[in-house]
Amino acid sequence: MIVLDSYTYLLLTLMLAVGYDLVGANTLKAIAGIGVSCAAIVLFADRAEVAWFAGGLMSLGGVAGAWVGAKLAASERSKVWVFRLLVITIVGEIVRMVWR
Amino acid sequence: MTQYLLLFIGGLAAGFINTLASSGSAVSLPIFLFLGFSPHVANATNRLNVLAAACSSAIVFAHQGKIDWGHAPHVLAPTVSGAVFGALLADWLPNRALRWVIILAVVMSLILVLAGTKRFLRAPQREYLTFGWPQMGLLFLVGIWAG
Repeated sequence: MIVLDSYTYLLLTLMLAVGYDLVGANTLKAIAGIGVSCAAIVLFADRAEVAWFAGGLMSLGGVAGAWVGAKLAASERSKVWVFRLLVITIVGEIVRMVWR
Repeated sequence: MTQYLLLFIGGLAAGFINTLASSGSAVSLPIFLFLGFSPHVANATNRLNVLAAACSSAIVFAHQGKIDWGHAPHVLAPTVSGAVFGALLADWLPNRALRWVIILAVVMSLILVLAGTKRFLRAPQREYLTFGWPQMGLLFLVGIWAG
């Protein structure tokens, strides 16, 4: 089951409660993402729940995708689309939750 | 071979979406499940991709001089401690209670978005931290549940 990504909340918190703009919030989200996923991987690896090969392969794609995404994220024009994407994600999640 | 390609392309899409907005896991998690991994393994393994993508984008952002390093510890401290706390809490809470926590979190995000039409001014640091800690605890519960 997939629920609203925790980083969506992080992004919203940074923008609406702290007052960053989208680009600023996105950069700090990346920093927090490093810390949080390191902690999570340590915890999960301890329970032997990490499939290292499959995860490593996906991570190769992840590095490339994030690289392109980060180059795009800084441009002013992309802001509107990022915001729309965010609203669509949240509305989609609420619709799905009501549906159940 | 198809599986390898699927993993790579899934990572590519998830990394891209995660960096621009969020919820790239909506792409990567179903791929792990489709390939036959258990939800727990899918959730745990997905963190590798999140980590790789976060490192990659952080390098680009740092290179562009866009990262507010001064406040990075203020964001890192509550999120990482919240993540660890959330992981421990998720083990301890029964599933029914978890479900309510998650519904609360989604409703809270809706309230945040609606309130955000008039964006708040930058809040004092202390206020953010008191708000941030329980919020981040919830965040990781949601992350755990996502598996």
